[in-house]
Amino acid sequence: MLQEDPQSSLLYLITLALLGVGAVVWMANWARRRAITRVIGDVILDLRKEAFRATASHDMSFYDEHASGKVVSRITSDTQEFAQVSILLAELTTQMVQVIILIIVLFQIDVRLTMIVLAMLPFLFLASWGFRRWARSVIRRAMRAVANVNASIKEAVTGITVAKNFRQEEAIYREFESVNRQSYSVNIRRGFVLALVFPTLNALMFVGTAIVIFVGGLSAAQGAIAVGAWYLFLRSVDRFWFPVLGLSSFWSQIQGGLSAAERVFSLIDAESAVVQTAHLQVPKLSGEIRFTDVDFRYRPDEPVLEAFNLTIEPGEDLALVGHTGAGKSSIVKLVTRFYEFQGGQILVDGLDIRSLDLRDYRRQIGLVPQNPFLFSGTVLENIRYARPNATETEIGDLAHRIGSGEWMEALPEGLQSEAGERGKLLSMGQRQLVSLMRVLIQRPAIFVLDEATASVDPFTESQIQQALQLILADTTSILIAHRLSTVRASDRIIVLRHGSIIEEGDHERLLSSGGHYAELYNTYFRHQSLEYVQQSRAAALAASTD
Amino acid sequence: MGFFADLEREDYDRTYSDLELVRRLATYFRRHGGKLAVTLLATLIVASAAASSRVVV
Amino acid sequence: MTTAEFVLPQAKQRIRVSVNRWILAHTLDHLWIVLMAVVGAFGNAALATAVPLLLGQAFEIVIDGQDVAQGLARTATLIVVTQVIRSVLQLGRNFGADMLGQRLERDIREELYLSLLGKSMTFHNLQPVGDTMARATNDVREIGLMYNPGFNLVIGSANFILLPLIVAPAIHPTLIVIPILFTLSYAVAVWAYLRELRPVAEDARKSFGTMNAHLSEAIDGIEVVKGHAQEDQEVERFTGNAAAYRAAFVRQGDIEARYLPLLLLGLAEAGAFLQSVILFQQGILELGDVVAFMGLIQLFGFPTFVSLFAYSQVSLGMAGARRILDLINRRTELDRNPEGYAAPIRGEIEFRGVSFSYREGAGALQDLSFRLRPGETMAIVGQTGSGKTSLAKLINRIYEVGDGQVLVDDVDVREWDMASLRAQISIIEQDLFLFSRTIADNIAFGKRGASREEIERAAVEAQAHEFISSFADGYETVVGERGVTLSGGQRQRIALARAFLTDPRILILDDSTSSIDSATEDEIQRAIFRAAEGRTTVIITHRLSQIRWADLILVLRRGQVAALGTHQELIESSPAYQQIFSQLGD
Repeated sequence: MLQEDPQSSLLYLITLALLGVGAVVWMANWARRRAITRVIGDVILDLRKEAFRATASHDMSFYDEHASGKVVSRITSDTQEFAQVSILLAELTTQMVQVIILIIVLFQIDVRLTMIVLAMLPFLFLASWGFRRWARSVIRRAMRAVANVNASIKEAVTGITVAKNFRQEEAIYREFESVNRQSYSVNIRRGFVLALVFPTLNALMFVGTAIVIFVGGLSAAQGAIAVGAWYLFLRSVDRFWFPVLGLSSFWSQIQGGLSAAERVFSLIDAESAVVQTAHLQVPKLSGEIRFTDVDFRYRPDEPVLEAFNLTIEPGEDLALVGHTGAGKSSIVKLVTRFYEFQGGQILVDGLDIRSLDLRDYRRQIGLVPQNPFLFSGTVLENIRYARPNATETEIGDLAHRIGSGEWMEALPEGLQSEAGERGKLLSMGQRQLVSLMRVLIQRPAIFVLDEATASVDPFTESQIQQALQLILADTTSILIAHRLSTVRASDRIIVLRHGSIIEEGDHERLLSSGGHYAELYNTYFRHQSLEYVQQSRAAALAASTD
Repeated sequence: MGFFADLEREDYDRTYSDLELVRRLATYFRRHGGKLAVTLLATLIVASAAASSRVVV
Repeated sequence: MTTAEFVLPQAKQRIRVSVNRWILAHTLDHLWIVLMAVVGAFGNAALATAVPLLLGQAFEIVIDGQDVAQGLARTATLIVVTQVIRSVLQLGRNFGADMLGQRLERDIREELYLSLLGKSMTFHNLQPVGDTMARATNDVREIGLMYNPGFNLVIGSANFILLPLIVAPAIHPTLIVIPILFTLSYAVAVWAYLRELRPVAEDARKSFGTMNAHLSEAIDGIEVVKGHAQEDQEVERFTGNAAAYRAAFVRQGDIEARYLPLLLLGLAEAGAFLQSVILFQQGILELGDVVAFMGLIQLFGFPTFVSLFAYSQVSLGMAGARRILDLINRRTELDRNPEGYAAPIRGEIEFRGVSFSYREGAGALQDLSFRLRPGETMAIVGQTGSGKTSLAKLINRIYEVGDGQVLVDDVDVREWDMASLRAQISIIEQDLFLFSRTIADNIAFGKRGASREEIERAAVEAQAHEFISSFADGYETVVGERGVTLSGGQRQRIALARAFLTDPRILILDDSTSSIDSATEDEIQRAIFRAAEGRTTVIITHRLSQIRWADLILVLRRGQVAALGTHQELIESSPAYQQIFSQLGD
C-alpha cells in the first residue's frame, strides 16, 4: 500500500491506530494480570487452607510414617509451584489465542505460505519432544543430587556438636565436598541439555522463515501475491513462532504443575486410619475407661495388644510398668485416640470412644508426652497454649506449687523467657516441666503421663509428685513409669509383658508376692547399693587388667 | 503421570487422571468466574490487538 | 580469619566486606566462562540484527525484479547460515551462564559449609536450623538463578538494546532518535519498576518464610496440637499467615501488571513507523530500509519482555548473596588457636572461679571452683536448669567461660590447641545425635578408618554388640531419619562405643535421663563403669550407684556450688546432700 500511495494521509491514521493499539494492549494486559493474580492468589489460599485442615485431621500413624518436612513442602512448596505454573499457563493461553487469531490472519493473506509454516510445526514439536525425554532423566538426576547436598548440610548443622566433640570437621567437610562436586557435575549436564533447547528450536524456526522468504519472494515477484501481503506475512510469522516455542518448551513445566497439584490432592485425600462413627458431644467425664478384648497392631504382622482387657475406675491412679515394647505406650495412644485399634471396644464413661467428637473428647484428656515439644515464643505462651485466657497470676501460682517455683528462677526472664525453636533454649528438664504445666492449666478429666518426667531430676520430680497429688486428687490418671520411686504412690500398678498383664495390685502387694515387679524393684535398688557399686568396680578393674 | 512423580513418592500418593485433576482444580477456579471472564476478555483484546497491529502496518 | 574453630589450610581467603565485591571475586574465578557467555551474548544479538537487514534486502530484490530467484536463494541461505551460527553462540551464552551459576553455587556452598563448621556452639545454639537451611538451600539457589536466567537475560537483552542504537544510524542518521528516546525512557521505567517491586517482593518472600516456619512447627508438634485439641486454632493461625502471603503476592502482581515499558514499546513502534514512512515519502529511505528499521525496533521486544523478571531475578540473587555473606561474617568468639599448647592429656581438670552464661543477663554458672585429679570420677548432681550441662561443655571449650579459668593439666583451655584438646575429650550428651548412616560408621565417627574388629570390640565394651547383632543388617544397619529408630538406651550405648574407640583421656557423660527398663539398665551401668575406669570422668547423674562410685561429688544449685566432697564427707556434713540422698534413696 505504501508503494501505491506513498503520500496518503492514511499514514497519520495508521500511526494513530498504532498508538491506540499500543495503549489498548497495555491496559487490557493490566486488567488481565490484575484479575489473574487475584484469582490465583485466592485459589492457592483455598488450596493451602484445605490441605492443612486435612493434614491436621490425619491421625498420628500418618505422622509416624511421613517425615514432617515432606508434608510441609506439599502444603507450601507444591501449591507454590502450582501457582507459578498457573501464571505461566495464563500467559500461554494468551499466546495460544494469539496463535489462533494469527493462523486465521495468515490464511487470509496466503494459503500456500501458511501451509509451509504449519508444515514446520511437526518438526518443532518433534524436536521439543525429544528434548523432553532427554531432559527428564537429567533433571531427575540433578534434583536427586541437590537433595543429597541439602541433606548433607542439614545433617552437619544438626549434628554439629558431635562433629566438634570428635574434631571431625575435616572428615565431614570432605564428605560434603564430594557430594557437592558430584551434584555440580550432574547439574552441569542438566544445564547443557536445557541450554540446548532454545538455540535448536530457534535454528529450526529460521529455516522455516528462510523458506517463507524464498517461496514468498518468488511468488511476490511473479505477482501471485502483493509485496505488502508478503511483508505482512513475514511480520506475522515472527509473532507466530514465539508462542509455539513457548508451548513446546513449557510443556514439561505444565506437567510439573499438574503433578504438584496431584501431590496436594493426595495429601488432602489421604485416608485417616482413625474413623469416628459419630461426633457425640462429650459431657464432663468422670474418667472411667474400659478396654474390652482390644486388638491393636501398628503393622499387620506385629500384634501389640491381643484381646486386651482393662478397666480403670473414675479417679483411679494407674501406673504401667514393663520393658520397652511391652505395650505401655500403646495403651496411652489408644486412650488418646491417636491410633485406630483393630478389634474389641474401648468405652469412656460407658460411651464408645469411636462415637465421640474427638476435639471435644481430647479437651478433657491431658497428655504429657515423652518428648516435650515447645513452640517458639515465651514460656508463658507455651503454658497457656490450650487455654489462652489463663491469667498470668494463675499460671504463676501453679508454677510456685512445683518445688516452690525454684525451676523458674533458673530461667533468665522467668515466665517471659523465650523457649526458642522447639524449646531449644531450655534444658530438657525445663521443657518437660513446661509441657506438664501446659496440661495442668487445662484441668483435664483424664491425665496421662508418658514417661513425662524422665529428664527431670529426682528432686524436682518428687516436688512434682507432691503437686500432682494435690491437683489430681479426683482425676483419673495413667502413668507410664520411668522411675520406680514414682510408681509407689499409685493406687494400682499394672505390669505388662508382650501386651498382656502379668501382675497387678498396689506396691505393697506386688512386692510381697515376689513376682516380676518385685524383681524389677529389687534390681533397681540393688543398683543403688554400695555392694553393687563395689562389685562393679572390681569387675571393671578385672576386665581392664586382662 | 508427572515428571518427578517417583522422586518423592509417599504411600498415600495416588494417581488422578488428567481429566479428574482438571475437573477438581476447576472447582477452585469456579467461584472466581467474574474475574476469569475479565481475564478472558482482556486476553482476547490483547491477542487481537497484537494480531491486528501486524495487519495495520 | 583466625577466629574460626575450623579452617582448611588450602581454602581461599575471600574478601567479604561488600557483597558486590564478594560475588565479583567469585565470578572472576571463572573468567573464561564469563568471556564465553559475553561473546555468545554479543554474537547472538549481532546476528539477530542480521534478520531484519536481510529481510530488507529481500524486499529490494523482489521490488527490483532482477535475478529474483538467485537473489532470494542467497538471502535465504544467509539467513539460515547466520541463524545457525547464532544458535551456537546462543548455546554458548546459555550454557556459559548456567555453568557460571552452577559453579558459584558449588563454591559458595563450600564456603558457607566451611564457615558453619568454624562457628562456635554459642552461635549454633542461637541460630535456628531452619534459617541456616533456608540460606544454604534457597539463597544459594537464588545465586544460581541470578546467573541463569538472571544475568543471562540481562546481558543478552542489553545487546538487543545496544544493536538498534548502532545499526539504525547506519540506515539513516536521524533514525537514531527513536531508539535513543526509547532506551532512555525504558531505563527510567525499569528503574522505577524495580524500585517499587523490591520491597514488595521482599515482603512476599518474608511472609512465605513465616508461613513455612509456623507450619513446620505446627506439624512437628502435631502430637501437642492434637492432644490439646487445638487443630482449629492452628488452622486459623495458618490461614492468617497464608492470607498475609496472598496479600503480598497480589501486591506484587499489581506492580507487574502496571509494567510501563510494554506501553513504551507500543509508542516506539508507532513513532518508528511515522518517522520511517515520512522519510520514505521524502525519498530518503528505500522501502527495504523501512522494513529493516521496523524490524530493528522490534528487537526491543525481547529486552522489554525480559526485564519484567530478569532484573528482579538479579536483585533476588544479590539479596540471597547478602544473607549468606551475613551468616558467614557473623562473628564467632572462639579461636581454635592452632599454635596453642598440644600434648597428651593426663587428665587433671580444674575450675577457678568460673562464671558463664549463654546469653547476656542469664546467669547460668557463678564462681565455680573445684579440682579433679587424673583418673578420678566426679558426679554432678543438681536440679533442672542448675547449669550441669553448661559446666560440662566448658571443659572441652564448646562454650567459653565468662569469668575465671578452666584448666586442663594446669593449662588454661584457651591456651590449648583446640584440636588437640577436643580430640582427647569425649562428651556423651543427653540429647544424642546419630548421623543417618550405618551403625558402624556412627561408632567409627571419631576415628575414621577404624577396622571392623576395632569397631566391634568397642561395641562389645559398650554392651552394644548384642542388640546391634540382632538387627538383620547388623553393623550395616542404617539409623536416623532414613533408617531404624533406636531407643534412648541403645543410642547411649552407641555413643559409648564411639568413646571406647577414640579412647579419650577425659570422658564427660550426661546420664540424667532415667528409665527403669532394668535389663538394659544393668548393661548401661556396666558399660559406664567400664568406660570410667582409667579416665578422668565427669558424669551428670541422678543414679545413687554412680554418685557413690564417684571420687568427688558436686552438688549444684542455681549455678553455684551447694556442696563439694566425697560421699562420706557430704553425708556427714552437708544438709543439702543429706536431703538429696534421702529423696533419691526412697
